[in-house]
Amino acid sequence: MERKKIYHYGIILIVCVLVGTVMALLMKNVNASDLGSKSLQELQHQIIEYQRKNEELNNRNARLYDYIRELERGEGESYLRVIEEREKFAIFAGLRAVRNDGVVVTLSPIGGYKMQDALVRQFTNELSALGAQAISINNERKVTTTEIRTSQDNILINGISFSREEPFEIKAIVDPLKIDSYVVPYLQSVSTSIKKQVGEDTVAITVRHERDIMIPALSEDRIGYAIDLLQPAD
Amino acid sequence: MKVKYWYKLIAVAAAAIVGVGVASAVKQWTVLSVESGVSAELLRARDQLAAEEANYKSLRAQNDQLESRKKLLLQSLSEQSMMADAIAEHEKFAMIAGLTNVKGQGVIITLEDKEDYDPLVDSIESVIHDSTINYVINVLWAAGARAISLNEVRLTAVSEINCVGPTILTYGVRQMPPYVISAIGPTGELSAAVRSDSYLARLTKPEVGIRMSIGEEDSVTLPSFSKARDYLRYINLLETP
Repeated sequence: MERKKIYHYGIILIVCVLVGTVMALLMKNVNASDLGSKSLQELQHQIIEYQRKNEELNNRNARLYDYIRELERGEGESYLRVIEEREKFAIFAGLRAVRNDGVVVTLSPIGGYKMQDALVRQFTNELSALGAQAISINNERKVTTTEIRTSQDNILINGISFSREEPFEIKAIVDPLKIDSYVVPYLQSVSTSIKKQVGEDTVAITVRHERDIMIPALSEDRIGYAIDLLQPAD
Repeated sequence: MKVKYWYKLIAVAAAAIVGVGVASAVKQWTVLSVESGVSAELLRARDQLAAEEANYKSLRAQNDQLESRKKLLLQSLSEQSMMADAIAEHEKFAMIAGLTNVKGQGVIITLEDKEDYDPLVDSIESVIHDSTINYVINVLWAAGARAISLNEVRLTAVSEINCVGPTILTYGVRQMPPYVISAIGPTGELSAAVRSDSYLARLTKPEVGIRMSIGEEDSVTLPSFSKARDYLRYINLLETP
């Protein structure tokens, strides 16, 4: 009888030890995944980020060095280099008309539907994320200061009013090699999901690849040219 | 009979304590072995990161020196009559393009997710999305902002602010909350536009919980876009007619 009891307690002891061991192994796996993947992955992201920045900085410094040497050489060459760089700044700022292959997205309101500024913004943001280097909306060049904002029956773009009942045409220059394979199919999928949200019978959306698109420069009377409140901070 | 019952209980409790003790020893041992395996890789990654950071600092210092030299040369050339107009326009276009450090009156807006955000309970609007940031920036442009940066990255004509999974990227640079939007422009108008916006008012109500602060500043300084990226990679597809 006594032996039976000891045997009984012995089994309980073994069971408890086994349960405890299993719990510990489970906890081990949680800790291991934390230690092994999360922090290492984070470090690897940071390394890649620095490598990219260093490569860019290295190239930029090499270019700057050449630029400075040319400025030091004399008036003629300096003048040409300054003009060349000024034009690159102007192109980047959207102050020059530019051309290349791209996409045209047309948003046409149907049956009295009033276009939402959020729809126009969503497409311009998607195009920026797709690597568009120049964008225009109804031939208004999108620049740093461009707003796309509803004001009663109109949408304001660069301070210019466009009726919400008229079509909005967004043009963008993107990498020609990606237009058919990625950009157009992606924008079409965005269109499909937007139509599901706002309703099929509210807005017609077309996306097409167009060769040799011309995107106009920002007009000189727009706020994008205003630097009255900016001071150099060097 | 009652005594036996207590014996049984004590035996079970003792066995459980022994079990947990053995278990934690096993746990400790296995975690240490995992740590030592992972830590070798971690150490290598940390060393590599430190080397890349040091390289970045050195390249950045070199860049600052070269930029200063370029600025001095342009200043001296601008004293020559032939160059004066070209250099003045060069500086103006650089400023419009976002390629110079600038300062001026403005606002600083800080956005953060709902405190203790719980995806199982809280609305999806309770976390900051790329669309939330783009919305605030659009409000500021509409109110007359002249220049804006997001977490010290200057925005330009090709402002890329988008999400990849849960991470917000600006020109491919990963951003972490809090999201700080600094804007130069007419302070009163910028501040009033953000404060009076109905969508932002809804987001900041307790039930959604987005945390937003607006500071009006006499002087806000924004970095050049060049501090974040090389602008030339954003115009390589563009041809002028």
